[in-house]
Amino acid sequence: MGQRIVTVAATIVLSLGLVACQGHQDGASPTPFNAKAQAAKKKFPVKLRPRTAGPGSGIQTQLTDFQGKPIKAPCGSCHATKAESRRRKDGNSLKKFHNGLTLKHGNLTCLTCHNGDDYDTLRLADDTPVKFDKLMDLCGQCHGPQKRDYDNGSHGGMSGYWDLTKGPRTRNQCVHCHDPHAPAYVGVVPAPGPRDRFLKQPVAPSGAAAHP
Amino acid sequence: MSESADGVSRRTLLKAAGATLGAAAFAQALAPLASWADGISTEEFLAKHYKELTPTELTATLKRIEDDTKKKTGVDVKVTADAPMEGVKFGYALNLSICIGCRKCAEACHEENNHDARTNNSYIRVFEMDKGSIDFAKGSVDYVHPVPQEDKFYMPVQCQQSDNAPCVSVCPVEATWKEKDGIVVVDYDWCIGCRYCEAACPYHARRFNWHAPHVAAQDINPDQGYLSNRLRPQGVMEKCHFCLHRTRKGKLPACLEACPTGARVFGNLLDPDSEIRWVLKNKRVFVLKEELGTKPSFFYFFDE
Repeated sequence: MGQRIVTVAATIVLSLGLVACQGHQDGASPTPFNAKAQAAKKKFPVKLRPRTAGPGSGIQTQLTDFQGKPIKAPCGSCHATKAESRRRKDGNSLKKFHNGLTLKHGNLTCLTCHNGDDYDTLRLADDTPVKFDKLMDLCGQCHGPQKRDYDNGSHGGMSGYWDLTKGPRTRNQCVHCHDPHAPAYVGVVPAPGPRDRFLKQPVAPSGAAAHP
Repeated sequence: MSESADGVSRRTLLKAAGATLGAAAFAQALAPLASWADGISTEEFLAKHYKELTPTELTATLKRIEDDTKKKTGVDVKVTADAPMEGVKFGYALNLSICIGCRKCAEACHEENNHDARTNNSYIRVFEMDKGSIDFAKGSVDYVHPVPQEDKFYMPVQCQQSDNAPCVSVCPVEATWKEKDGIVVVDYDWCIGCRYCEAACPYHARRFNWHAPHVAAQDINPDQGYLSNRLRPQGVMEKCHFCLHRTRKGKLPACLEACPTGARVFGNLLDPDSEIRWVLKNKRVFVLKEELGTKPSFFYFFDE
């Protein structure tokens, strides 16, 4: 009997000790999250990073103005008088523009995305025109999982604020990384790695390795 | 024993020689101490632990660090000490399906956190490993070929900000601890450089300053935090602090902003509507070395 009491007492002391051990880093427990207060706060916008290249602002004419800046022409200025070709898949057979443009994007044709009725816009499958500077919905028609991940913040680069009550955020669009005419991601040369203080000299990327 | 002609015994001569040698050796032994004391002010030597500073003392300490930096490097810096935000516990998730191993995160960390230029130090190591298993021993961190390679995958590893952090438990002087928002921090002025924490960390996430970091004056990031990226002295430990001088102001960490693919997801684990919670709910998520019971706040996931 006495032995049993000792065993019970020892067990209690041990378990108390274990609880104390687990609480070792409990001083670091965070303050609770207040969902109502968070919802009431004003939120800053999430903006799309503007496109710097591409036909959104017209196509290069190879001509320059008196300041030496390249002159761009709106797509419609040529396409207004050109008949559309629904089957065309690349620009190499054309004589004046779009030479060298080979489409490596599934079995798509030019007019899968470009709007044959207004070449200064793109077009969704349901005929809705889409502007060149906001084409996430267009890509998302086929690339659903990627669009879903993008919408939930787990695909595509961003900068700015994680806490939108403190400041705005800017997000990349699909075409910042994926060329819409050949969307497979091309390789890059990585940024320099860590250098050992004693054993190794830094290895510079050379020749064939530097250029895929 | 015979006296010499001028009255100096052999014993006296030996005594004098011994005393002179002894004094010289003592001075020589103390020399490093003198030069060490050169770089450290009396205020710094007598400073209190970060957690014991009153608001007035903290302001004075930050001012002292700014002045010291100006004196040593000629650069005007702003050192802040942001407290953890209310109702926030930081979490970080990394998408292994889209990481391409470009090391832009490690580069951004290097620039943001005033790292040593000679070793190109960074709090992030990007492992290139064969597809099929996570085998760090066979991984490479200093690859130079174009990425991504067809038969490899890439896994950036940095501090996992564990809830049960072995590095915190082993520190003999409490120079490292876990803050309320989940970030494990180091007081560089309290650390004695014993490197126990470096040995205890199963993620190899801590770095030791064998020398004071070499940072060119024009490369110094003037936006600094006491517990984060201020210029570290020689002989102390340092580690990833989730860019707390940025993230406690609501900004994204530097490594996330640098990531071109969006493989990195950062946010508040306590907010059920945050991106990080969406990832934890909807993706195949794992933590590194789960079996060790460190309870990381850093997660890895796959797309499908």
